Parts: sequence; structure tokens; C-alpha cells
Amino acid sequence: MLKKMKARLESQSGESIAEVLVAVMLSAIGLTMLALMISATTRMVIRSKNITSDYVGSNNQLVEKGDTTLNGEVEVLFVDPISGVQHKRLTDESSEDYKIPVRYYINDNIGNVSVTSYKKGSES
Amino acid sequence: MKRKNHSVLRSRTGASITFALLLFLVCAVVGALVLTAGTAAAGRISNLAESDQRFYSVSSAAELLAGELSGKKVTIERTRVLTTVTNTTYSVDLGGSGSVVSVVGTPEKSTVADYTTKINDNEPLTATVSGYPGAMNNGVEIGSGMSFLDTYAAKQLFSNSTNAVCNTDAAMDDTMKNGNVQSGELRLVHEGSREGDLTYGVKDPDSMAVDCIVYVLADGTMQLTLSNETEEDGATYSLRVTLSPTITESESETTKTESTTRTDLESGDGYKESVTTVTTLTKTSEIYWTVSGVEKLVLSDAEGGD
Repeated sequence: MLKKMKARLESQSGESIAEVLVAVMLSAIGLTMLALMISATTRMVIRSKNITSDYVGSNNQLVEKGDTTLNGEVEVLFVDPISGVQHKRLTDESSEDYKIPVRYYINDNIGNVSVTSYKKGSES
Repeated sequence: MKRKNHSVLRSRTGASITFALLLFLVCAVVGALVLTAGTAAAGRISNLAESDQRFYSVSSAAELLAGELSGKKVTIERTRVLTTVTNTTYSVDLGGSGSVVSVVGTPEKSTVADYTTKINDNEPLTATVSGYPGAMNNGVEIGSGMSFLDTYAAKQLFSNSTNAVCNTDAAMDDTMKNGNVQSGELRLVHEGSREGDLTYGVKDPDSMAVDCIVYVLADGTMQLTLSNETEEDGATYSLRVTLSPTITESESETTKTESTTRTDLESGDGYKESVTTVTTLTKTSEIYWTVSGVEKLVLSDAEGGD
């Protein structure tokens, strides 16, 4: 075994050109792939950083409820503990088919997902 | 020369291809790791939006409910009118002085009790009991179809039965400061999918629906536990809004003789006197709730009241 290794180390013979070519090609593909992956990841991280920044900035509007984006209605369903019937009168000021007018504030700076908050009121 | 070239091309010695394969493998593994880390970081943002939506659904609902319920007064007025008619027969003593009047037998006394309970602007509930106080009186259950606040205020006051009963003497003695523990449910839903209304913008109104467990303690403190749950993974965000009651109770009682009538009997036999006395007892209880606290709940707290 030792003899064989010694002989190999002392050997003056080189690799075949085909082997070298294949080795260079494989190395080139591997390194290019790595570079592309790092580049794609960097772009992805920068993009997600920007999206997060925009999203957080827009979320401030949800908290402050600054810009009206949409009017709508909310129903409060209440199961009468006496009759077991469901109805919608929260207080004496509301009617049986009462719906509370609300203004929705929507943050859709995050692709397909949107985040919505709302507050009582309406704007024509 | 040609032969040598041929042998070089066909030579199988050397290790370049092994190293190249190893390098390729290392590049592939490192690249995959970097890409996975980047994708995971980007994926967190959509999870952030979902959890934020739960937070905004619940906090908006809490704000809306608190605004609707806070400071709205419920007044419950209980009145019991006792009308007592006492009939006394007098005779004229014709002997001696000739004008001495004496009572014949025992005066007849009968009482009718009229109860009225008025809860805010709802139709008053009434009951009449003849033969008071001995007669049977099961009272009147408070009406269904009242508003949420009226119902819970009435159940807070009339605490002697599962279904609150008014118009009895026991109900006249009830107080809001010592009510029963009550529970119930509210649900806030959005009219988001209706055509011509929220057909755009609010992408998934159903996911914004909030369930609210109502829990009223014996002292009248109302706890609203609002939750929004994601169907896919069961993640829940819960808030508890505590509303403290302000209770005012007062009572007044008046007694007055409404009328006295005299009917002469046969000449010389005397007369019959009828006295009608009316005693009115009025008790007024007022309650309104104001927000005294908002707290975020962990799941185990949200599952039930204290």
C-alpha cells in the first residue's frame, strides 16, 4: 500500500485533458451557482426589508386611522339569554336590524395579504 | 506522437475531477443554505401580516364595543301600589243618649297589589294580585327581545331566578349591588361580501369576525373577552375589556287615603263607611358601565372567566 502511494506521489504523469476540462466545467458551474444563489438571496433580503419598511410605515395609518379607504358595516349578533333568539340590538338606541357604520383602514403593502382595522363612522 | 496523444486522452490517472465534484458539492450545499435562510426571512413577513390582522380585528372590535356600551344608562323602575279598602259598619245606639255609635263586628279589609316594572323604554310589565299578601304570585319573567344592555341590567337586578322574574315582593327587595353571575355571547361580523358594499379592499371580511364572551360578576362588573382565531393553524389573539358599573338606587313610599264614602243603612240602624288607602312604593335602579381596563390574554386566560 505504502509502495503504491509512494509510486503515485513520485509519478510524473498528468491528468487527461478531458478530465481537466470536465473538472474546470464542474467547478465553474458550482461557483456560478453559488454566486447566483447569494445574489438572489441578497435581492430577496433587500426586497423583504423594503416591504417590511413600507408595511410598518403603512401600519401606522391603521393605528392613527388617518386615511379613509372604505366604508362598511358591522353587525353585533347577540343571543338573548331569555329567549335564545339571536338579534342585534346592543342598546336602546339601536334598532332590531342595527348595523354599525364603520370606516376601514387597509394596509395592502405586503403582496397578496392585507391588514385591515376599522373604527365607527362613515364618510360620504 | 499520435499514439501518445491518444494515450494521454485515454489516461485515467489524476484527481482533478474528484476535487471538482467536491467543490461542486460544497457550492451547492452552501448555496442552498443561503437561499433557505433568505426565503425563511422573507416568509416571516406574511406571518407577521396574519398575526397583525388578528390584533387589528380584535382591537378594533374592542374599541367599537366599548364605544357602543360605555356610558349608556339603563333605568329600571319598580312600583308596587297597594290599594286597601276597609269597610266598617257602625250602629246607632238609640238607648241612653241616643247617639252613641259603635262598631258592628270586625271591619272587612281587602288589599289589591298592582306591580309595574319599567325597563328603559320597553313596554312596562304589569301584574295584579288580589288578596294580598297571602295570594299566590309567581311574578312575570322579563321580556325577551330587549336590547343587550337592558337584558343584562335586568338580570343583574332580578337575581332570584334563572330567567329574571319581576313583579313580586322578592323582586321589589332585589338590589343591583348583589346580582347573579351571568354569561353570554356576542359576535361581530362584517358585511364585507355584500355586492355594492365592501366588494373590494377588505379581502377576507370573514377572517375579521370576532367572538366575544360576556361575563358579568355579582357586583355588576362586565368582562368582554374578544377573540379572533385563524382556522388553518388555530392561532388566537384575545383581549379582555373590563367595564365597571356605576349603580344608583333609590326608593320612596307614600301612603294616602284616597276616599271615604258613607252609606246610610236602614233608618236608625247606623251606616257603613268605606275607606280606601293607597300605599305606593317606588324603587328606581340605574346602572351604566364605563371601561376600566383592557388587557391582553394568553390562551389559558381566554378560555374562561375568572
